[in-house]
Amino acid sequence: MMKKNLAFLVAIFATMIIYSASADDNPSGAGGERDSLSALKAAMKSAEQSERAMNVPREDFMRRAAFRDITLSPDGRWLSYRHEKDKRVELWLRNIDSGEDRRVMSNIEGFDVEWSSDVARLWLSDDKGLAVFDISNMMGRRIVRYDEDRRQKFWSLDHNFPEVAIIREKIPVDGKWQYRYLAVDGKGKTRLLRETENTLMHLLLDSKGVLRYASGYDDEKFDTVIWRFDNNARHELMRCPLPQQCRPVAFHESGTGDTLWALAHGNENLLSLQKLEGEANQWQTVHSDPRKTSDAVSLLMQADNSDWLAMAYRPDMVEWHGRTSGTSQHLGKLAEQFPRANFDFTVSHNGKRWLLRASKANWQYDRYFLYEVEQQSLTPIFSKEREAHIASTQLAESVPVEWRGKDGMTLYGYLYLPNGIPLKSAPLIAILHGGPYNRSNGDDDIATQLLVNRGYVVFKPNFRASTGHGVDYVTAARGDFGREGVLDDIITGMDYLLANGIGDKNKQAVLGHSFGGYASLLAVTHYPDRFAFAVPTAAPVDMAWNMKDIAIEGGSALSAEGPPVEVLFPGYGVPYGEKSWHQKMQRDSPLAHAESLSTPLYLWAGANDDRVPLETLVRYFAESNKVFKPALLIDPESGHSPSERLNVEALAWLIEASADKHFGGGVSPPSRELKQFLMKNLQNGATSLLDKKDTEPEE
Amino acid sequence: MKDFYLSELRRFRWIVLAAGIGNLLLLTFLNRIGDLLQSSYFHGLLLLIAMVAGLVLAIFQVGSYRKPSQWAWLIHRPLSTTRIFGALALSATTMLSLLIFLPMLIVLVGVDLLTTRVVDLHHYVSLVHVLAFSLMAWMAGTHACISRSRFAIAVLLAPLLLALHMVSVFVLLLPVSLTLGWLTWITLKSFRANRDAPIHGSGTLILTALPLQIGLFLLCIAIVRFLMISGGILLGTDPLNTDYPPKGGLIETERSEPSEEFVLGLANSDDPRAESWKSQMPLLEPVSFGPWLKRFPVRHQFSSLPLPSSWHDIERNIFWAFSHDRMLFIGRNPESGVAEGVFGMNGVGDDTPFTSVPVVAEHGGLFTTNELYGIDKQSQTLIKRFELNEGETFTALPQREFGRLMLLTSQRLIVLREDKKAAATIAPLLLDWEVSLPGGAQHLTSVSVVELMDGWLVSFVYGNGMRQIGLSQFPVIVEPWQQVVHIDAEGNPGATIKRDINPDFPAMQRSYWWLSPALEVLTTWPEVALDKGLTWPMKVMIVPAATSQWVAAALLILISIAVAWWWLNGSRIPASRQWVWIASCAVIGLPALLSMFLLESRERKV
Repeated sequence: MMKKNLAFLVAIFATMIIYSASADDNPSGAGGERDSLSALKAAMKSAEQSERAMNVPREDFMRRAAFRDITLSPDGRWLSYRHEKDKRVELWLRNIDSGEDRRVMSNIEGFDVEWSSDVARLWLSDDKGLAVFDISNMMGRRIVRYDEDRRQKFWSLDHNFPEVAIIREKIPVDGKWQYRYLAVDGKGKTRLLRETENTLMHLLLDSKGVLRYASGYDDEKFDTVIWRFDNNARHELMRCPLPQQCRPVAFHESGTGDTLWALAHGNENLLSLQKLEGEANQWQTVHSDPRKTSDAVSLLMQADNSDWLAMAYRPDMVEWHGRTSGTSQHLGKLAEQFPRANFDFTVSHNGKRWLLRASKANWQYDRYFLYEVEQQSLTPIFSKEREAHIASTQLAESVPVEWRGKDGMTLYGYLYLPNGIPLKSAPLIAILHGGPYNRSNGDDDIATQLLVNRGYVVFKPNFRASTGHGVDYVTAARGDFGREGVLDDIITGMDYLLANGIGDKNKQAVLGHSFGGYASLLAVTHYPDRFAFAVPTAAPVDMAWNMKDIAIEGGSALSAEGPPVEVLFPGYGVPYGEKSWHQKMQRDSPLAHAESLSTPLYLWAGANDDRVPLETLVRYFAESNKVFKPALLIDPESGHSPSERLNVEALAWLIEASADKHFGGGVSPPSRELKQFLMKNLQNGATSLLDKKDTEPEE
Repeated sequence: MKDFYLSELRRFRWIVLAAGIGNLLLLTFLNRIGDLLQSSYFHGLLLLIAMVAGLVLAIFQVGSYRKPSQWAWLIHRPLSTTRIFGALALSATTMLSLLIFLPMLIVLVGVDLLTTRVVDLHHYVSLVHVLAFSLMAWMAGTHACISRSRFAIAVLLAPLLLALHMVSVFVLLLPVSLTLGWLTWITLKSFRANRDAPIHGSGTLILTALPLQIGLFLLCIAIVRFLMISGGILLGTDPLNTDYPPKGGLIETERSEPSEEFVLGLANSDDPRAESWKSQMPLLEPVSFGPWLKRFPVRHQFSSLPLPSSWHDIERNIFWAFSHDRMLFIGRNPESGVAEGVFGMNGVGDDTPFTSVPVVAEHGGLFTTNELYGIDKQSQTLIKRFELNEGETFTALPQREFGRLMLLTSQRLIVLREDKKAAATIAPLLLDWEVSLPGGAQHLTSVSVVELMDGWLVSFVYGNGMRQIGLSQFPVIVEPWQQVVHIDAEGNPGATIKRDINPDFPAMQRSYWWLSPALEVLTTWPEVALDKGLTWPMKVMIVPAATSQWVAAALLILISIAVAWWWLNGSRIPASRQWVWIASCAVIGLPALLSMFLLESRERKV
């Protein structure tokens, strides 16, 4: 979506790291693997020599910071933040100079909050409409109620024309969808910006509020195209066939013409910063990952968009590169203060004040700072309010790993090592990400830290088909989601770790959500003697069936305006149109082998899941080997993923308890409320997981 | 006669005046609460008030002459009994008109003239019917007051059964007129100097006895049902009053959760997939519904069905109510009361009439007996979404389950998917799958549906069925059964598994046809003969399949004849009249015998 489309600051993904090394510092290839291995050995040594972490109750992992979502106003004078109080989330403003706090809204749940670039107002959007909070008089009001029949929704704000917010409506005209982009001013008055036959994604307005550039889907192949709009005409500037991306991020008007900046693949493997100047026809690649392994993840522009300020990539951790030596110096200084931290920046208009959000795998909560550029002073903010319940020494850092796949392809992933435990005899648990067109980031997450705290090694592989490492990487699976391909990458990754003294080969397990759950099922299906157990959650049991189901049912898995399944998957190299592929997927599917299941399974399913329907897991459950009948937790309130606190904890408990049953690392007793939930929703005698004496609920 | 008429009016003038004003205030109050004309709930209440008023008036007016001395004073006036009755009946008509009809007319005319609310011709004609029912109650009350037995009040059940139907008010004029005429005739004939004397003439006797017999028939059903149920409870054999319903029975099936119903239906299946299906059921959430939409509104209907016939366009603040006269929706702004035009088959401003009275469905839709429409709020037009086959009708409101729209009809279960990608405000419907009802709609109790990974399972349970209207069960005795059908991933019906279900109750308890086959047919007949908008045609089964019913009916008739023979034998009742009663018992059975006890005096020959 386009909610982050501020021309001054373009934040694509959430977390970043400062990296100011030169392009030649970390070349890819064998040298990179050697460096990775030596870093791995060092991390192993450090972990084994450290003191064992104390057993942290699951409850502590579940806590969220009461102060969150802190943003800096573009003029650098205000901070906005959410404060959870008495089970209600409020929106507050803080004047940085005076320190005065002021409540904006007493219930901000469901709202997205964005600053207008002139700081005249905060735009507040929810699924019902738009509201504004005027900074001049500190008054808020609703200005737009969406017309459901016109499918109106908030689309974006624009740096060049801060007076308006852009909403999009989708209406049928003569049997075809028409997409209308409307500018809404602070009083709720609307005017039409553009009407198109295909949805636009990223829009850039000029200083008069006229649409100048946009990207959108085009033709039946759903190529992403960047256009320039002149009056009623539009001119194609760049075309990116699937799975390439291209999005205009900013433009600068000058006497010699516009300079347009875009993050795009431009027929290259990696997403990079590109620009198109004046009347030129050719795009220039301005900056790409010096290590040649990562797509661009974030970009900072100068206030007038005349040039870029800094670029970020994520080969393993987020690495920042400044354009000028001055910027690089600031970035480098910050990186030195917090080694291996990921940074997210907001820079004020005048460039003098930066808001930094720093994250690390072993920090329970992200940390926020104000950085005064001229004074080079870094001041922590909300440090007391966001104080972690779990000390960073009790949590594990992520260690990037590289290994070779069966076919020699270099693969990437992350490892989390428990402290004070002989790693050779530690249980090894692979946590597989969903998608498959997604990735593990090496961040903090509840399941990972919970398992590491219980003394298990956690491995999060970015198998082929993962995003972030370029087009070749994401299409490398060529649709091989069966016995080979992706599964081989997971197995070779675990073999690589075992070969290097990480993990006990007799204590391996695998878990994952969605596609990760499917891959977990594949693992225990095709490697029946390898794993002690698996926890597949919201797991498809037949990939081809699931893709067909998504094609028919729609649902939340795919955008209604984006490429349909039969276009999307071939775009990623999956031979979706070939019958033989469907037959192979079905042949290799966990469902086809359910009767011969020989590994204990702990399944989780959301009763309202519109991506992986409940009946698929229920059928797998019903047809699986009776001796190894899986345990099944059906969450009656959740969809594809749990969202409420109790539901999230129930899933965390399932993972923790099943690992404890097989590896004995311990499990926090469930609360009375959680126990009742589990007793009600665990199927097939899986309540035996609750039978341990130490699992009696706390009084 | 005129003096008597006026004197009767004078007797009740103050009470009638007060009650009339009270009625007017009540109606005005109810009309303030909501649109009384579009309501269905209050119509029954008003009819009840009208009939109670007629009955009470009869008791006070004619009852005051019931004492022998008063009766002699009344009947020996220098007027013929016909004129005496005429004066009383006319005065009652006048008083009930003032009490019931006039207040309703004032309110109706007020609404018609002073507001933009929909007032149709059938509303006016309905007032005549309400007055007629009030008069029927007066006739029945009068008849009971001056009959030998007060049980004669049972004749009031006859008009309820034979004339009280939610059909077109114009069609209803016939049964209402006939019934009122009938009651008037027998009441007139009961005006005699000697009230204990036998009723003169076989024709009058039959006409007097028949409504009484209908009432007694219903009374017998209630008593026999009560005795059977209480006896069953006492003996511990009543299946509705045991801790658990009997295994393999209809009650067990009907009470089971939909998932359990599937397990029951699959119990004896030899399909290799049945074991998997059974073990999946407790983990899935099948849905259950049934042919619970029993009837559609008919044009110019007497009263309204509890189905919405109006909707509120909140955006434009227009309340659209359906007019039977114009067969269009008529719009009005509820805030200003301003008329907002019409909404016809082609939407706002179009006066193309609907071919039948539509029902407003949830989620902004309309449907008629065989067509489903969506209302496009933007263009304010009507879009046909689905049309059933000729002769096929919806038997349930459209169900939204499993992301589908499920339509249960008199012939099929149709499952449709909305084409959300199509560029249309109202998403077109795509046929996902359909399956024919394995035993039609007549005795269908419920349909359960569950989505599987490899298709769908549908369970049809057939039992006693739901009689769409009327006071008893179907006279048809059918053996309950269940059929589970698997619909494969391509939407084709495949494996079917059939299970016989124990009916739980003996045949004698499942229908009371045997108490009087002739009256069962007679009382069912109007339901078949009149167009009541039923969603599937009512069948009159003259002969039920169960032998025990046959035997019981024959025995009861024989016993009635024998008892009548014994009772009449040696009485002073003329032989020809005795044969009328014997014949009556031979045709009608027990209710005829009971009516004879009430209408005849058993004086022995000297």
